[in-house]
Amino acid sequence: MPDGNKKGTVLLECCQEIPCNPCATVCKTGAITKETLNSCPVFHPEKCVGCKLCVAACPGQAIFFWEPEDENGMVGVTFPYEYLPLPEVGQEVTAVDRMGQPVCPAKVRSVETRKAYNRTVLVTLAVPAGHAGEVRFMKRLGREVE
Amino acid sequence: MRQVDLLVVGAGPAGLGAAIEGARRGAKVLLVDENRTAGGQLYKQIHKFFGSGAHYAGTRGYQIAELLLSQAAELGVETLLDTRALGLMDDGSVSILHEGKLEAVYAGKVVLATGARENALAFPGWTLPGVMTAGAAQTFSNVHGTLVGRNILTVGSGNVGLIVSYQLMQAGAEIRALVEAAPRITGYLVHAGKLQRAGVPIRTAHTVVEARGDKRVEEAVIARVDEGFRPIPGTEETVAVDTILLAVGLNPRADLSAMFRCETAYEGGLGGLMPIHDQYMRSSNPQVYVCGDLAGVEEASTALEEGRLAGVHSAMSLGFAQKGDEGRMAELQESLCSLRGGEHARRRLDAKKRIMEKGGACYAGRE
Amino acid sequence: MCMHISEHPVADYPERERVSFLFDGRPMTGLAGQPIAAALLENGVSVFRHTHKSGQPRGLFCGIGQCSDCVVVVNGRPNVRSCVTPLEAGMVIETQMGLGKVGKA
Repeated sequence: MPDGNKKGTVLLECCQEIPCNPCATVCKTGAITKETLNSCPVFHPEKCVGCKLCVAACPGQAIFFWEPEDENGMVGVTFPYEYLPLPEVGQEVTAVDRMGQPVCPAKVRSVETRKAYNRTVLVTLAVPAGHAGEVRFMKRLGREVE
Repeated sequence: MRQVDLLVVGAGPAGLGAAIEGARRGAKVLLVDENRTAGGQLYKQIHKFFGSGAHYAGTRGYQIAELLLSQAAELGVETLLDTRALGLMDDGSVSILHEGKLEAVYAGKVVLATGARENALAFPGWTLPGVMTAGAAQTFSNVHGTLVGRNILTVGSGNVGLIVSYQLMQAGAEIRALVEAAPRITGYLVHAGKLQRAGVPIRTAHTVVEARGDKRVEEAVIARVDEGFRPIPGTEETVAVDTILLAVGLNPRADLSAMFRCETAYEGGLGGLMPIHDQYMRSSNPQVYVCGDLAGVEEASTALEEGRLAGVHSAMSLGFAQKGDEGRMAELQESLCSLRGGEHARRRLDAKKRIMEKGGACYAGRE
Repeated sequence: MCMHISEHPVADYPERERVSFLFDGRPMTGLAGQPIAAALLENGVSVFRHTHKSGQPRGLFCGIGQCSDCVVVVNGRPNVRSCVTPLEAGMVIETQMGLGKVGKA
């Protein structure tokens, strides 16, 4: 897992040189910087305050946030979600990896809707620390099973 | 009969950019669009845009369209929708069809921002209902609120194929597969990432070879292709789908610019045959500017900047220059270079350089 | 398989009134102002016309009024682009056979 601080850590999975910088623009503390419009963003963990505005702002939905491990060995993994129906807090869902493959069952810790997120909802799943590094998303609800 | 300083054809981001900059400098601007709703491709886009703050990055496409339209209205731009520019007449006027009547528009300068059209891909069964362009599915889903199908095969992994697939999933469809004839995904990988995490199989080096069904698509046959993009016999697979979306590239709509006798060049990296232009977006016809996807298929951010550039220069050339305009145009050109500066945009950048050399040669020695 | 999207995570649709119309003599309902093609698709109709020479079924293709594959007969008038023509209450819509007949039959 990438370096973080007490508030948690951000993972930027943005690896192509494309013209885009909402992540750097929305970050109020300078924890995400970009040298040029096209360069890949860089995370400065010491400046991050864990506001998660970047997770909602990234048009490519390529930013993820990990809340620090709690006393039960669970990590909160936050990702952007733009589907209906929305999950509910406490609901058990299937956490999946980058390729949509199931990682583990997970309880929904929070479902955040804020005006600043411009209709992108931030979902946080409580995931065992050992699996947190793989989780990027959840199986969408109300869909047929393959 | 209308007399204006600037006639702008096409109210997408490029046309709006030109109209706004022209009107800002005091030019009398008439903006026409053949559609009932202005905004070009922007008003169908429900996802957050890339680019920088100056390009409204992070804002959803339809929100950008609203912002630009209200700016244009505030500046006194007259906008006629459901109005088609038919062509250039012998007396130099542009004929427009508005509310069933033909009208002549006499304009100091004309800015063409007519955009691009989607390519088609022919294969056995491609005329069956259920086979359509990705844009059709997108328009119906995002604008009209109608889901065109439930189980979809998308052909093409450029940004259009990737984004439309995501948008259709948001509307309730499932993408059973996305095929791409090239050996790798051609659009932004972050767009592909959204599909992959939702379990959509992306099959590179594959294409669609047949659509089967009675009155509508019931299944599609896909196959692996070789380096020459030829389907390899024996690799066929059947996919149960009711819809096949073709996202196989866009092509500049240069019909109107041809009527204005704008010279063209072929650039595969920009969508095909397109009107050449100089660094100020002037076509080979000094009365006509070209911008946006018409001047090479790129993105909304480049369309907006090119439109602005055309708007500033055309207004200046009519005597509406403002202090600082040289600097403003340099800024816009700088911004365009920056938008085309990443590795992913290399081919477009090189193509644009060649186009601008050809366009610039039309004006060399004249200024 | 086609349906009206009642709720969307990020898009908004205008409020529209539900109206009645006829398609090939069958009573249907749709939303006033939506493209005729949308109303037909939502009623399970994918075939809008049959081609002139071989009678092949055709329907929605470009969706923006450029290709003419989606034309239908509306109130006796053929070659109406269903993807860009808004639905009105009481419209009499028919599958177009071939090139359609203009004027008195």
